[in-house]
Formats: sequence, structure tokens, C-alpha cells
Amino acid sequence: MEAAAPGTSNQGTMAFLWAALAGAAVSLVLGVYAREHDPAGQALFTLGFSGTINMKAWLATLALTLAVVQIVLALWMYGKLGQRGAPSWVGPTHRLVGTCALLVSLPVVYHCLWSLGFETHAGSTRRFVHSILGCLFYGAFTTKVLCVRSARMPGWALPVVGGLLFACLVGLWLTSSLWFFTNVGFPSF
Amino acid sequence: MLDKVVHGVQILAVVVVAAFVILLFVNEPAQPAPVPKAGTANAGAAIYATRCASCHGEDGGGSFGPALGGGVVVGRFPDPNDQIAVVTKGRGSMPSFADSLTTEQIAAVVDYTRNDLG
Repeated sequence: MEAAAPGTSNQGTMAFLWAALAGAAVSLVLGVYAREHDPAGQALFTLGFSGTINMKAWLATLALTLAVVQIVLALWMYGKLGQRGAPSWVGPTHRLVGTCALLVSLPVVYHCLWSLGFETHAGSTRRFVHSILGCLFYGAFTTKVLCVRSARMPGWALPVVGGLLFACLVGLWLTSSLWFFTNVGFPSF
Repeated sequence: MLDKVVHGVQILAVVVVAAFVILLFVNEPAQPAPVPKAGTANAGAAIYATRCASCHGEDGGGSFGPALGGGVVVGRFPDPNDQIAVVTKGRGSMPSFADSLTTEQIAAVVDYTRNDLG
């Protein structure tokens, strides 16, 4: 029995819609929690950095760096970096780097959700955009994981969701770490 | 071998995600003490202790947030209205207190940080 070619069946589109729906649900839950939870307004662990905000700025930078490495590995896998095919270790390394990026981001998002909450106050565009992107990021991550795990996805699904995920992370870094480095100081550990 | 490492790290990620999600709901911060009305004795100090000290330090020496005591905040905000605006609207990682403190309470805590803290 032949498997359906990616991107040629309604099943593929439906599978993507379900994955997108699951991602949207994750984004929504995060947004509702951040909005409804009473922000603690307290510092947490620092993991060796001089302050919680310093830790967050650098972990977000590390996550972005890992994401760039993951993009390069993905391009290699898809044959976009030259004629020769990617070695066998590229695929597992791509997954490993992505998982590490997720792990690195967790202390950051935990503090954002628990201590700061969702910014809705008028006049704070940077924090509002950051809040939106934060929720969107983990929704896109969920969708991407589901796309990877499903054999029925259309061919365009993974690059599109991966690109959205990376764009969200870049936006998050621009509205947090870059702000920190330009307003507080660089390098400020 | 590499596949096993990836699998192990992915399992670790699932466990850590689950732990953080549980902590989000279990690790509820203690409710701060009620804010005294502005105009009562030591209102500024009480407001600072319940709303500001967790980030700026009990003595104003700074922690998650920058130091305020010892005249630092006066140097950064020569005009008290500028400091009031930051407390009201928030800035950077500092949240807005417009919804949780009255104008008089904000003025009281700002006065405390400028004249009595540190």
C-alpha cells in the first residue's frame, strides 16, 4: 500500500489544520494564563547570572543562536546549501539543537508568565508585542512538532511553520534582549 | 548513538515542560498585604514593602530591579513627576501600577523612595 504523496490529499490539509488548531489552543491558553494570573512581580532563580533579567536576556540570545544553527541544518537537510546531500548526523543534530533551544527558553517564559504576565497597558507597545509573540511562539512550536510527527503533512507545512517559529523568536529577541543590551548595557551578565 | 542522545534530551524536555507547567499553577505567590491608604502614617514605607521591595530590595539596594535608595532615584529622576509616570505606566520589565495603586498611593511611595529610603 502506497503512502499518499505529501501535499496532494485533503487528508494532508486536514492534518495541518488540526496541528494549527492545537498550536492556536496552546497560544490561547498561555495568553489567558498570563492575563488572568496575578503577576507575582518577583525575581526567581538567576542560574549564575547577576540578576533574573540578565539571565533572561542571555538565555533568549542563546535560544536565538541555537535557532539559527537549526535553520542552517534544515537548509542542509533540504539540499539548499549545495549539491551534496547532508550527512546522516545532520537530521538528529537538527532535532537535538531544536530541543536544546526549547529547554533554554523555558526559564525565560516561566518568569515572563509567572512574574510579569500579559502586557495590555496602553503606551507599552514593546511589551504588548512581546507578549503576543511569546504566546504565538509556543503555539507555532506545538504545530511544528505535530507537523514533524505526522507523515500526512503537505510538503509546504514544515518550512512555513518553521519559518513562522523562527520569525517569532527573532521578534521576541528584538523586543527583549536587544532592548536590554541597548538600554542596560552590553555585555551585562 | 546520536539518536539515543536526541531521544534522551527530548524526554528530558517533556519532563521539564511538564514541571514548569505544574509550577505555574502550584507556585502561587503569597498575596501581598493590603495597601494602606495614602495619608496614613508610614503609608509610603508600607506600600514600598508590599509592592516594590521584592524587585528593588527591602533597603532599596536593588535586586531584579535597579537600586533606588541612597538618593539614586533622585539622580535618575530630578523631577518627581517623571518617577510617578514610570510607576504609573511601567517601563522595561517594571509593570504598571495604574490599576493596583491610586494616584495618592503612588505619590506616597514615590515620596518615600526619594526622601526616606536607604
